This record gives sequence, C-alpha cells and structure tokens, in this order.
Amino acid sequence: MLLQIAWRNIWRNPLRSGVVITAVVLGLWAVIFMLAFSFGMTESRTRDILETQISHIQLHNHKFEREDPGRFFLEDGTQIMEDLENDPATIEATSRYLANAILNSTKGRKGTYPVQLLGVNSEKEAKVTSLEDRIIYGTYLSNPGRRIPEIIMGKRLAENVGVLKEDSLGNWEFDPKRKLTLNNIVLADGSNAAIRVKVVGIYKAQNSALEALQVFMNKEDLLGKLNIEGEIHEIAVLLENGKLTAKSKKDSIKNVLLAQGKDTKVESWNEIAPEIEMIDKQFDSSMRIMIGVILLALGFGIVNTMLMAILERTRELGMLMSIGMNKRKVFSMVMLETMLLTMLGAPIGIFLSYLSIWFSSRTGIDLSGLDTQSMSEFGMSSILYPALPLNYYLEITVMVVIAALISSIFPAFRAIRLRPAEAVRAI
Amino acid sequence: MSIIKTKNLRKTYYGVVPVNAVNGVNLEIQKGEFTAIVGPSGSGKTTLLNIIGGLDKATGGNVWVGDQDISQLTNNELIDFRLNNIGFVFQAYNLIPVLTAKENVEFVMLLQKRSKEEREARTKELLEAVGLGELVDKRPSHMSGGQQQRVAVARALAPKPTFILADEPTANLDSQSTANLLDIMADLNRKENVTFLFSTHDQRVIDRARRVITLEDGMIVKDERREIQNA
Ligand SMILES: Nc1ncnc2c1ncn2[C@@H]1O[C@H](COP(=O)(O)OP(=O)(O)O)[C@@H](O)[C@H]1O
Ligand SMILES: [Mg+2]
Repeated sequence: MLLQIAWRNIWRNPLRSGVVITAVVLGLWAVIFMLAFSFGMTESRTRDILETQISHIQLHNHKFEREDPGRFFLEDGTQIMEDLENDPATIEATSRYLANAILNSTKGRKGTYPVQLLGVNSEKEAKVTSLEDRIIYGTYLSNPGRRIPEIIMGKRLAENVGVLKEDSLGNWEFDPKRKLTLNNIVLADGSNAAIRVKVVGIYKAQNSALEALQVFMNKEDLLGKLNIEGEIHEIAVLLENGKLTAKSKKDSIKNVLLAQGKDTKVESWNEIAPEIEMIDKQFDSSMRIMIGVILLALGFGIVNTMLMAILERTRELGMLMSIGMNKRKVFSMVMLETMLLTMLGAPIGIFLSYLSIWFSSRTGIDLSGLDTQSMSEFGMSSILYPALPLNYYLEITVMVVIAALISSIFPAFRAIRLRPAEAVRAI
Repeated sequence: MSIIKTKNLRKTYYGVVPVNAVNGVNLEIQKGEFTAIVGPSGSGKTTLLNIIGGLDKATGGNVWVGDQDISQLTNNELIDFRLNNIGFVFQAYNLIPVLTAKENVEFVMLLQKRSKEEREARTKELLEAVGLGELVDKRPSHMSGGQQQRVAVARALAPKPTFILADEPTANLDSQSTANLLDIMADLNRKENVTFLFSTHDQRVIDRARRVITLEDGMIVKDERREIQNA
C-alpha cells in the first residue's frame, strides 16, 4: 500500500516528476557517454603504444641496457623465441639484435647522428609493431641479401639527415636513392664496424624520440655484414588480449624459464611503461570524480524538488500522522517517492547510454573534422570508438542507488520532523 | 465512567506575548455524548481538541481517555494511541488525494493490520452508512466537499475509535451538505452510540448538539445539556 501511495504521489505533479526523471536520464546519459568517449580514447591510445612500440611482454638479459646493449644477449635466445612462438597465447613474437651506431650525413644537412640499429626479422617485426603499416614514404624492408643492405628510418631522423627534403612548395620529398654509411657500430666485443646502407623507407612513430633514433634493417643483413653469431638482445611478444593477460603470462614465462635454469628478465607492458597504467588509473579516478559530481548535482536537484513537494503537502502529512500513520511509515513513504523518481530515470539513462555507446562503437566517431593533424601525427586513428567495460555500468548503477538512498533521506527526515498539531493548521 | 476527562488543562503559546490558548479547562465527556465546543474564533477550540486528541501537548494539567492519562505518553506512543482510539475529522485535507474513497477508509485499518476480509466488509458497511455506496472508487478530487467530509467520517469510524473528534467539520460546506453531514453524525450517534466531540461556530450545527460547551479565552464559560429530537 505504501508503495502504491508513493507511486501515485509522484504522479500528482507529472511535470515536476517528469523534469526530475528527465534530469536523471540526461545526467546519466551524458556522464556515461562521456566516460565511454574518454575511455575509448585512452584505450586506443594505449593500444597504439602497445601495438606499435612496446608490445605486451619483452624479454632481456638481466644486465641488458638499451643505451649500451653490448654483449648482454638473451641466454638461449633462439630456443626461447621458438618456445614463445609455439605458445598458443602468443599472436606474434619478434627478436631483435641491437647496436649503437653513428650515422654520417655527407649530403644535405651535414652532421653526425647517434642511432640505434635494430636487426629484425622484417616479417615478424611488421606483425608485432605494425612497422610496415607505419611506412609513410618509400617501401618496407624487402628480403635480406641485397648487396647494399636496406634500412628504414623514422621521419624525424630522415629530416635531420636530409633523406626527406622540403621542396620550394613546402612538400616533403623522399630520395630513395640515398646511400648512407653507418659508422661506429658497437659490437658485442666492444670493437667497431661500419656498413654502407640504402634507405628504402621512412616510418612514423608515436614517440618522436624513437623516431629520431631507431633504424631498422634485416637481422640477417646486419649479422652477415658484421660476421657475428645469431644472438638476440630482445624479444617482444604480442599476446591474445594482451593488455589484460600480460601480467599473469609474464609470471608463467618467467617461471618456465626459471625451471629451465635461465635467469631471464621478463617484463610486462606495465613494467616497461608504468606511465600507461598510471594514465589508466588517473582516468579511473577522474571518472569516479566526474560521476560523483554529476550524481551530487542530481542529488541536490532531487532533494530540492522533494523538499518542495513535502512543503506543499504539509497538511496532508499532518493529517496522516494525526490519524495514526507512524514515523517509520511516513519516512518510508517519502523515501520511496524519491527512490522511485530516481529509479525510474536511472535505468532509462543507463540503457540509453548503453545503446548510444553500442551504436557509436560500431561506426566509430570521426574526429577528423577536429584536430586530425596532431592525432595522425602520432599515428593515432582519427576515428574514435567509444567503449565502456561492463563493470563500469555496474559501479555506476551501485553509485546511483546509493545516491538515491542518500538523497531520499533528507526529504523523509523533513517529513517526520513535522509536528501534527502544527501541520494540520498550516495554510 | 467518562471516556474523556481533563483536569485543569492549560496550553500557553510563548510568542511575542504569551497566549493562554487553553486556560484551566475541566471537562468530562461520557460515552455516547454528542457535544459541540463553541466560541468565537481564537477562543481555543482547536487547541483544546488537539490536546484531547493527543496531537499537541498541554503546558499543564492532564487528559484521560478512558483510564489512560495521555499526558504521560511519548510522541510515538501517542501515534498508536490515536490510531486505535480516536477518529479525526478536520475542516479540510482529510483524505489522501491519491487514494479512492474505499482505499482511504481501508488505509487506517491497514495501519491497524486488520485482515483483508474485515477491512473490505467494514469499508463497504461504513461507506453505505454515510450514503456513499456508489462512490467507492472515486478519488477525493472527483467528490464534492460534502462527500469528502462524509468519507472522512467513515474513515474516522473505521478503526473503531473510542470517540470522534471533529474540528469545524462543516466550515467549508454549504448548508445542504452541512445538514446532510450532521444527519449522518447524529444517526451514527443515536444508532451506534458513537461519541462525537466537535467544534463549530455555525449556529445550525450548534442547534443539533445535545451538549454545548462554550469557550471564551481558553476557559469554559457555559456548559449546557439539552434534549433535542435529532433526525
Ligand atoms: N502555534 C501557535 N502559536 C502561537 N499562538 C497560537 C498558535 N496556535 C494558536 N494560537 C493562539 O491561540 C489562541 C487559540 O487559538 P485556536 O485554538 O486556534 O482557537 P480557535 O480554534 O477557537 O479559533 C489564539 O489566540 C491563537 O492566536
Ligand atoms: Mg480553530
């Protein structure tokens, strides 16, 4: 009966209740969609970094340092690589030989540029870091074995070295016939070597420091030219659903290697780039704050509206208490009214959000009208796919219920504080 | 034994100047009486009825309903006491607007946790007694003022109270509806021995009372009983 009365009471003023419900619907819709939008953004940013740069898991020798790879190879690297490639959780793995070198530019802008030379299997590297897709001028590495080995370099380096030139109209022009010399290639034993190379392509990277630093060539070419063994400095692995599974997979790889007596450094993406996880966490807490603020605003609105409704019904509430409706029942009735208002709006708002996120995640939102330049500059797609994991919906639902409970308490308290003798006299 | 008894009842409102709204009232009401409290506006009728009905606390003195001294009850105890012992009819806003006539009458019995069969039977009986058998499913907004007050009387009777308190029940009614409501009240009083205590300053209502207590400045200045032919 109380529920029935509460239900009918909220429809006594359909306009007012309608406004409250609409506010709840729109508030939730806006906040959830906004969340999905920014979630989609950070997710695609993270995915870009993982799938073009650091992968999900990397393996190194414990003493390995990127600045000075030297002789710190992976112990039994070839075997580890083979095992990883056979692991069903692995999408693709790539192994790299790293060496520091100096690039001398004799034509164009003259100068010497320190670079990091990466000897890779071009096919595997293409799959792990989308290197081939990121070629913007020229071509990707072809098969090894050319007389003069092919290399590809980042756009920044290419500009520095003068392989990319700006013509009088402001267009960038790539000179595919340029041959360069890589000097001072630091070998594992500390000695130096030099090789002549041909730049066949220019790639883009999100990380401009890497774009100015990393030069790729076929590992076979590199090792062949330098007459060194097939050692491996680094293995990078892309996993199925890797962002989530990397942490546990890393542990199991580590344990397997330990069991084989190999003390190998195995790192998951969050250890390699802790800032990514930090951004995720920041996003998480800022989303909580945002939901909190919206719910607070909604709560205030609801409390206000209900207090108004209570004030208007002072005499009626006085009558109810006079004829013997106790405080607990009056309290419940008013609370139910507030809860009903919120609970009518909340599912609609959440459902609408879900629907619009679902739709927009299928087609994506084209942001190319906005700031496309700086986005694609970093190799980011200009199409955004809003998304929100289910657990956020759950959390939001719980928070809405709590907010509804809290905001229904105030009007209910106000109602039971009425004194019947005064309430029935009220005008 | 009297069903209402007050002893030296006082109520002072402490405003800018203290007002002795009820100033030493000694009163006894017997079972089956049909009593009007009369007096000019501001004489303390509402205040007195509110204290007797347990809606308000006296500043001094005592009120007994039956053998219960209600001045001793806490506010929460008073709510239950009102539910089970007193039927209220106010001047207006008597009914829950979102409930039908039938539901309004049933509501108090629901608060008393009476069985469904009992509630339904009694609701039907009471609404017929006040002559509204055919309006059971109408909401107050679809009834006239007189009909609403008759539903209020039915609602007041529903919990089988010791007596019914009515503060100016006819103040908002035209003379036809006033006469009609008084007929019903007098009828219930005569046939069912229901005790009524009501306030009024309407002469036509006063004429129907079998006992008339006159208040002035919170004091009883006259208390007369008379034999009248009611209906
Ligand atoms: N809440 C209150 N505060 C102060 N004075 C009040 C209050 N209620 C009533 N009074 C005063 O008490 C006196 C009696 O009022 P009331 O009982 O309403 O008389 P009646 O019902 O006979 O018109 C009046 O003078 C009125 O102004
Ligand atoms: Mg009055």
